[in-house]
Amino acid sequence: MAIEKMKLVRAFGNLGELDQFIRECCIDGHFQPENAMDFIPKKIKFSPFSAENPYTEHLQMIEQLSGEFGIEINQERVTEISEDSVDAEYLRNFLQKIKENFNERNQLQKQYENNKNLIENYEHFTQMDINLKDIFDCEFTKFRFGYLPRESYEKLQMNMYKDNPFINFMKGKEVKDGYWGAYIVPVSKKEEIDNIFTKLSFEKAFVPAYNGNAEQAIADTIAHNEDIQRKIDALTKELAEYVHAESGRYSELCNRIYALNTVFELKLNAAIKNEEDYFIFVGWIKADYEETFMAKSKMFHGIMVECEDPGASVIDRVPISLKNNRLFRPFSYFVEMFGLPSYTEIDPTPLFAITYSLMFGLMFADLGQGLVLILVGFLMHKFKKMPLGQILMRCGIFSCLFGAVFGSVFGMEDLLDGVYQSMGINFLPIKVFENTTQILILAISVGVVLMLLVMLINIICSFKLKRYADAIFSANGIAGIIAYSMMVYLATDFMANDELKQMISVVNKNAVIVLLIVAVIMMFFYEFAKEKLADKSYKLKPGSYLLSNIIELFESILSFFSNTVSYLRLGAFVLVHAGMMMVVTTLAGEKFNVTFVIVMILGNALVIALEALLTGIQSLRLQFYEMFSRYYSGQGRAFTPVNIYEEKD
Amino acid sequence: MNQSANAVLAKVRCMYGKRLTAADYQALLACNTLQDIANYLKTKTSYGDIFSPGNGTKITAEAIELSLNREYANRLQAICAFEKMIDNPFFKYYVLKNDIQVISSAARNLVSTSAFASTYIPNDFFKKASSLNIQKVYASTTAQELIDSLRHTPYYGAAKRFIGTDGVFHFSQVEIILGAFYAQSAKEMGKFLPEKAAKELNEMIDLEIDALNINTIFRRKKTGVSPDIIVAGLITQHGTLSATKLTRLVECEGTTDFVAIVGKTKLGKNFSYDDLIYPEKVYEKNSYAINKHFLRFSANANITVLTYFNLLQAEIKNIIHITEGKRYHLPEEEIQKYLIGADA
Repeated sequence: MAIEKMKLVRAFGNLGELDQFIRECCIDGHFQPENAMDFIPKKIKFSPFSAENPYTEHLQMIEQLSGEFGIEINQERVTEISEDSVDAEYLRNFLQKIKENFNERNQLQKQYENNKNLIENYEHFTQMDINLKDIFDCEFTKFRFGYLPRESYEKLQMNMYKDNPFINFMKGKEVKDGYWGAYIVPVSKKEEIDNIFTKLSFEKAFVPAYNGNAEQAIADTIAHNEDIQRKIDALTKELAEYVHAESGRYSELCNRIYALNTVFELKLNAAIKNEEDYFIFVGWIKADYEETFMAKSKMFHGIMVECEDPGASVIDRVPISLKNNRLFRPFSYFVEMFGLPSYTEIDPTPLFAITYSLMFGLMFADLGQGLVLILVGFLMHKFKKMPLGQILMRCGIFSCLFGAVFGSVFGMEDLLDGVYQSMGINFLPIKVFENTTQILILAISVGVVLMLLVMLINIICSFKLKRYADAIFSANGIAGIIAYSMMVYLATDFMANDELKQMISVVNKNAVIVLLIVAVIMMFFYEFAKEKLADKSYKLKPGSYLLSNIIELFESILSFFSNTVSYLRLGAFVLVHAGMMMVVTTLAGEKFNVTFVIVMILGNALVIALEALLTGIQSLRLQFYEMFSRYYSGQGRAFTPVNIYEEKD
Repeated sequence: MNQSANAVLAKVRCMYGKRLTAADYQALLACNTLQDIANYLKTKTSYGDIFSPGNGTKITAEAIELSLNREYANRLQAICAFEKMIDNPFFKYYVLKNDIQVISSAARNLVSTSAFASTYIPNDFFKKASSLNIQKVYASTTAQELIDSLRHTPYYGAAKRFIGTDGVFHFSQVEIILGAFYAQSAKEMGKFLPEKAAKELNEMIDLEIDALNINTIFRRKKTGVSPDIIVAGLITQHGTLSATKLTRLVECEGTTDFVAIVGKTKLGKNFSYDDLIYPEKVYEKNSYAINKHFLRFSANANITVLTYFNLLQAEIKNIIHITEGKRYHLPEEEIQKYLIGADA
């Protein structure tokens, strides 16, 4: 239950063997490369490895096939990779064949669309029984087909142009705001008549010549379009069959190219010394893989490999791999959401798992609903492989436990009374609405305990990392824990009943106050202590130090109060949950009938959905804000080894 | 106000709310082609899908103008039909205006065959409501035929003066005769309105007459007509400009004097020298101002509706100016000079 130990790998050797070394040792899911230049002292003259990617053309072709033509690759496990296995010629031919098919189909499609437009145009003139070829063959007259707005047609009807015999519009199809039709114009009067009709907003339509009338033209064009459609369908079928036949070989080739490309990109992390054909290659492996890695690398006689623990200069760069048991592992989902721990931090996952489940269970206390959560979580994990599924199952267990304590089964708070009585347990179940104050006090107590716990963790970790100022003087260090404890004591003494007051009176109040003051003063000088320990020549500037640190101190003390009070929500949500279920049971009534069953089912479903969401969020908020802020920074980065052999989904 | 009047009032105020904004005008001015203008009107304004189906391949300036005028006519028809249905006689004002427009259009066709294409054709509502035989009116090829086509209509008495004492038909004189008739008849419509609303109506009509007089003076002076003839052809019984003031305008020398005299009248408030780019701007600017004022402050539904349609007409004219400007590739600053209320 920790952060896995990592080893820094440095490989030095003959550049000619680098490719093989990467393929054999670095792409099987155990090695994470680093930029070698970052690990070489500047005085040593190395330069980054650079070369042209030999697979660029291949990748572009694959991209084009996928993007432009929608040819998908079956993601498959790659069993072997060698440069000989890349057949660029096959890829080119494959792409060419598909391009040709697409182009032919596009042309046919364009023709199809043109024909559709033609049909639309012909349809306007079906009422005019004229042979289109005959009229277009006329030598001395021209026909103009088109659309005339209604207002313009009415102007013609008003006989205003009665002196001009050539202003005559033959109506065809009538539409909403005008008419489709034609006018005839002698060639000698073409310009004058066309001008008049243009002023009347006549819109010309393109109607090609056809040996027949408009209806015949339409029938013919439709037949032509059917023929084109058949050709398009045939081409589509041909392409589908071809792609299907070649998909296996094509996918295999593509997967191999992707793998080889990955190897090439890994190589770019290396640093080289040109004159001597010599490389340095750096990366990370897990400590438990060191032996295997060293054994593998021994086959390369021209390469020397070193594995070492990360030193102080690279400690911040160590990638993180968490190692937790099955019980806590699902909660790393939330920890990763906040941020992975750095190599020198503790893994908060176990503490997170326990405290999160406890808080969730307390706020969502119901035996029956807890069982539902376990079931739902199981289904989510089994069928959808959702990480939340496993988390929900664990939280459901705690919900059941607390549900049993509060005696709530699907909101019915009397069901377990008899069970406890028969077992002779008199103090259970704890009735929520009869113990409201106690529940709220419990919530605050949980908060106090957690606050002290996380501060303690911070102190231990800070001492381990030799951050003495943080460990002793900070608000989360010894000074902070003392100040907080003393404040809790004083608050308890102020608000407690006589019985409790007598219990805690063993502690000398004056001593408490003195300790509090001392702790606050230590907190005030935290910045000074930190600077002084880092730099012995540091000199305090009283004026500015006072100004800035008074406010910091005030903020720290206020945060003690606000963070503690924040835990009241644990108690509040216990009451909310119980209250909501009370409403449901009231609505359902006392009689056990169909209405009761329906209302209980629907009510429980609603409360489970709502409360599970709310409770989950509130618990997460308490973790991230009240707890993590005191002992955890989450500045680590994930360990992401390269693996070209893994099964892809 | 009764409920129906309230409903109409609310409707036109709502329709006015969808007018073009300064940003819309800027966007239209920034359009490069007529297609862009049509697309903008279709997608970003209340004009929506007003364009004819056609081929959709080319939008022309004529097509845009036709569609906009059709939209105006449809909206006016809808309101008038409603007014008629609720027995509000004020719809007859619009019928009067429509008839005047038909007669004026027919008269214009007598002097220019190229005007045929822009002949005004009323929609079905006004065809039915009108007392004119529109077919016969437009079929006239001479002034006498036109006058005869108006027999048995209220316009016959005025139409008889279309042919002057010299036996000549002048279109400009027709405009004056029709203008005077319109002013008289329209003011009589005030009897359907409360006193305050009738005053507002009279104010708008007087503005129209003043503008008509100023236009006539400006155009006729430019063509060198003698002052006596100009004065004889003006409307003096309506409008706010007295006979003396009109005579001074006729007798003034130069555009600067003309503008100075107009500037001292009611019209001067919304008129400047630069507006002489076309003299109709005298009316349009003042009309815009007065209609906007009454739309906001008039409590009478009939007046509010009237002002809405006047403002709608101004908006449509603005759009047409923009389309014409784009058609002839005029710069934006040049087109903007023709726009009224585009920066509001």
